[in-house]
Amino acid sequence: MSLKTSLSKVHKCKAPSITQTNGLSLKLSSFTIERFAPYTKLFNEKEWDFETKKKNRNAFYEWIKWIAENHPKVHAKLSKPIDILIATDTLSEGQNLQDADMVINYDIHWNPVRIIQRMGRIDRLGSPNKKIFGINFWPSNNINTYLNLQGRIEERMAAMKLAGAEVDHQFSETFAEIIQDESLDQKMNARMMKQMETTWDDIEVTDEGLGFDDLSLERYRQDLLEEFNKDKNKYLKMPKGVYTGFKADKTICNENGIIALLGYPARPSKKPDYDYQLFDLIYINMQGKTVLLNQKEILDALTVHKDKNRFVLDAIDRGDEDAIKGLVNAMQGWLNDQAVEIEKQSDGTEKK
Amino acid sequence: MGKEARDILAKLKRGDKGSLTRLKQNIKTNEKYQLDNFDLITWFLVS
Repeated sequence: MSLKTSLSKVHKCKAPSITQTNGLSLKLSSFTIERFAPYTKLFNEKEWDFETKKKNRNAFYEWIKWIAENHPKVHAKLSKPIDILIATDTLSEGQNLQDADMVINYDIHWNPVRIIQRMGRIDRLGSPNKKIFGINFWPSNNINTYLNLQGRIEERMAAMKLAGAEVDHQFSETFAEIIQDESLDQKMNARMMKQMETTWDDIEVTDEGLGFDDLSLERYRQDLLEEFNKDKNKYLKMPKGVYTGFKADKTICNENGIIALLGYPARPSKKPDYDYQLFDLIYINMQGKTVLLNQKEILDALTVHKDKNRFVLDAIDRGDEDAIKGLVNAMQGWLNDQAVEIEKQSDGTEKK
Repeated sequence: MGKEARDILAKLKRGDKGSLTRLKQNIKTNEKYQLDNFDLITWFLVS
């Protein structure tokens, strides 16, 4: 429970920033803030000729009695407490307001640093509160879909975590999932390893650096949507199993093979509106071994080759039995690998 | 043990929700990874 026990008085404080130079508003705002956070602003931050053996909150209560006798003007402020302070973003930094135990973000700033800073007003050393609370008001679903505010902030926070910043893991449910995601850990480890080899600047300026884009598939979605809208009917009518091919840039796709999108479980024959439970985007060589593990890397590889001319071996286009069999074997090999690992023993036999 | 089983075990250790759902489906990996169970939606030949 906070020191502020009653919630009866609400005060609107338009710009209580300490950076304000206008004398009148500075006086007004400090007066407001002292009434809002007397424990921090008056009792802790100012020097008083007052001594007590008690600590924290108890010392504060004793100090109030002492103030009543010795400083009537200060006591006048204490007798007009403000329980709820409504402020613009100007209050998000620079003020200690540990008296309060709750921050409600009625507008969410796009920059996660700001949100962390706002919480930081009450999440400080010397707080008399055992628990503090943060509440975020997200826009309604329609608007959020349009702005993708939550998604963008979460992505930025994830990027900050990668860069080593301290972030609030419980910020939202989806964010908790993002940071628990295996690939994020891997990326973070990879980045830390890289940092040991090179300096920060090297990572930032090269293309290999991990940017905001790397955490979402938005770029591919945009690309696909643009292509899809060019000729919707063509794509909607496309049959299952449609294929193409390209001559690969060996620095990106260093092995011949297949990139395939698989849907699981297979669609029953009489269900046109069927949703797959999961999709697998795989890049395997002709032995069925994975070439690129990460789905994003595969999408990257496809993006690089998207404007190349179609190139498929004649034998495959003709439906040559041997050529097709080779492809089926590759797929079969990959499926087997997912289910059972076969280990070759030293005597040449195989162990499952 | 195949790749999926290893993957699920690793994720279970970290308390991943999805892997628990997969476990509850109670489908053996060698039953799941059959050619007939997957639809080849589209594919690219890399040469």
